[in-house]
Amino acid sequence: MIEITDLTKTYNRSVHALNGVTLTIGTGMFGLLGPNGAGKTTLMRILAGLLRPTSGSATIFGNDVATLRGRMGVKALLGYLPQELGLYPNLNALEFLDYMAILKGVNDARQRRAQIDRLIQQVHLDDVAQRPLKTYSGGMKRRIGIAQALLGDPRLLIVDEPTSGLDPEERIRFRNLLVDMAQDRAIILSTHIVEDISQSCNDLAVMRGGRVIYRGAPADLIEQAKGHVWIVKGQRPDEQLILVSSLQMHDGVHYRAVGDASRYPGAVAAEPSLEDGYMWLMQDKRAGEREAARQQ
Amino acid sequence: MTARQILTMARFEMLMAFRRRSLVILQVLFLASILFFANISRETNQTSVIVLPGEGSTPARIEDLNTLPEDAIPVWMRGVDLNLWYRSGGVSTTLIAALIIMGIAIVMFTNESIPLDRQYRVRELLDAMPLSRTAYLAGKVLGVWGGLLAISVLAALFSAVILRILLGPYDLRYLALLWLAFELPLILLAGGLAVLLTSWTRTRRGAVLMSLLVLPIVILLVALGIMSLSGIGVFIHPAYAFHILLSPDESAVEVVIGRIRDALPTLLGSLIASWCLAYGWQRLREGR
Ligand SMILES: Nc1ncnc2c1ncn2[C@@H]1O[C@H](COP(=O)(O)OP(=O)(O)OP(=O)(O)O)[C@@H](O)[C@H]1O
Ligand SMILES: [Mg+2]
Repeated sequence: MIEITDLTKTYNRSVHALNGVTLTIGTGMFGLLGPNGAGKTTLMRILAGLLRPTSGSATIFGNDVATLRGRMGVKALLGYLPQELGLYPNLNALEFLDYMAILKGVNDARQRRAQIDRLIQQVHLDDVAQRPLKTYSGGMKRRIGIAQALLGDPRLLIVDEPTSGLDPEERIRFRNLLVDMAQDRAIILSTHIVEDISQSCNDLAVMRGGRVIYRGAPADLIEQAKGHVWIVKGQRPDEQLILVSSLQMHDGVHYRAVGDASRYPGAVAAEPSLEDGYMWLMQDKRAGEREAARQQ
Repeated sequence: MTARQILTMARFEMLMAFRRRSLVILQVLFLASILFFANISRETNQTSVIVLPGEGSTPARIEDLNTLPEDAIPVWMRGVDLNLWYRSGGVSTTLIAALIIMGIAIVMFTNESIPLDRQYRVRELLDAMPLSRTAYLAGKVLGVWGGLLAISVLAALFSAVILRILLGPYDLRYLALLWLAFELPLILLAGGLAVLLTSWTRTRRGAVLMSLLVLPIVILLVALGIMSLSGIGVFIHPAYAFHILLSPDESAVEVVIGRIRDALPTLLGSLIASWCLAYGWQRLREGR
C-alpha cells in the first residue's frame, strides 16, 4: 500500500515539479500518464527513495520516504527501472545481473543463478548474454534494465517508461509479464504509449504541471470522451478540434478529431479509445486554464 | 549483507578496472618505473671503491668489504654481509624513486572509479539499491586497493628479479620488508586519496582535471611517508638504516619508530579526512 499525501518537490528553489500530489496506490498495475515535464519521473524517484520531497509525505508499505531508514526500507523491497538507464559497458549481461542481484541481497548463489537464467530468458537475451553490454542495441539495454528491476522478486516495482525503444513484440511481451507479476505486488508504470496502459492497467493517474488531473479507471477516462470523438471525411478540421489521426482511404482522407465536430457535414461520432480520452482531458484542461486566465 | 555488498563491489570494480585497461596501464607504469630506476641504480653502483661511514675509515674495494679487518668497520655495522648490504642500497634507491612515479600514476589512473558510475548513468540504479553510503564508498576504495594490491605483487616479484639481474645479489629480506612495510602502505594511501578526493566529479574528464589538483597533495603525503618510513631497514640491522641522517647507533631503532609515530597521524588523518569529505559530499547531494 502506497500513501502519498500533499507531496511537493521544488528543484533549485524555483522549479515546481510537484505541486501537492495526493494518491493512494494499492497492489496491481498503476499507470502514470502525462505530458513531458509533468512530474512523473520526479514522483517515481521520490517513491524509489532517490529524491527527498520538499514537503508532504509518502509512505510505502509502512516506510516513510522522508527518513533515511524509511528510504532504505523502500529500497529493500524495490525494483526500479530509471528513465535514463545506464549499464556498465565492460560487463556482460550475466555478470551485470549477478552484481545487481548481490547488491539487492539475493545472497544464495544457486537461487541467484536460477533467477538470472529465468530473467534472461524472459527478456529473450539468452543468445547474447555473454556479450559485453556495450555491444547491445538500445532496446536490448532496456531489456537488461527490465531484468535488473525484476531481480530479487521485489514487492514494489517502479518502471519509468519501460517500453520506450522496445520493438512491438517485446513491448507486448513485457506488458504481459508485468500483468502476470501484478497479482501480488504494486507496479507503478509511466509511459507515453497510452496503449500500454489501456492494455494492462486497471488504475491510472494523469499528471500535468505537477498535479494529478485525473485519477481512476481507464474505462472512465474513455467514458468522459464519449460524444467528443469524431471521424470527419474529406475536410480537414480547423484548430478548434484536436486532430488525432488522418488516414488516406479510398474515399478520401478520414480525420479523427477530438472536440465538437457536429458542424462538419459527414462527421460521424466514433467510439473513443484511451488515447482519445487522454486528448480530451488535456484539451479540457487547456480550455479551463484559458478561461481562468481570461477572467483574471 | 553489507560486508557481502562491499566485497562484491570491490570484486567487480577490480574486474572492470582491468577490462577498461586502467589496471593494465598502471601495471606497465609500475614495471617501467622500477626498471628505469633499477638501471640508474646499477650505473651509480658501479663505483669500485667506497668509504664506510665512521671516523678514520679508509677507502675499501667492494669485493674486499667482507674481508676487512674487524676494526676497519664501525661497531654498529658489524655482523652483516657488507657485500649484500652495499647492493641493498641500490634496492632502496630504486624502490623509493619508483614509488614517486607510481604515486603519480596511481592518482591519474584510479580517480575514475566513482565518477564513471555517473558518466555511465549507473549511479541512479545503484542509488536505488539497499546500499548504504558507507558500503558504497568502502566498496569503491576496497576495489581500488584490491587492484593495486594485485599489480603490486607482480611489481614486487618483477623488482626482485630485475634488481638481482642488474645489481647482483642483495638482501632479499630487505626487499621484502620494503615492499610490505613501505611501498604497499604508501601505494594504498595514494589510491585511497585519489578515489575519495575526486569522488564528487561526474565524468572521467572531470576526475582527471581534479586529479591534477589532488596530485601535489598526494605526492606531498607520499614524500612524507617516504621520509618517515624509509629507515625501516633498521629492523633487520642498523646498517640497513640507509636513510636516517645520522650515523646509526643503538638509538637508531627508536629514531625510526619516532619518525613513524610522528608521521602516522598525518598520513592516516589525511585518509580519514578525505573519507569524511567524500561521505559528506555524497550526503549533501543525495536527494536534491
Ligand atoms: N534535476 C532537476 N533539476 C531541475 N529541474 C528538474 C530536474 N529534474 C526535473 N526537473 C524539472 O521538473 C519538472 C518535472 O520533470 P520530470 O522529469 O518529473 O517530468 P516527466 O513527467 O518525467 O517528463 P517526461 O515525460 O519528459 O519524462 C520539469 O519541469 C523538469 O524541467
Ligand atoms: Mg520522465
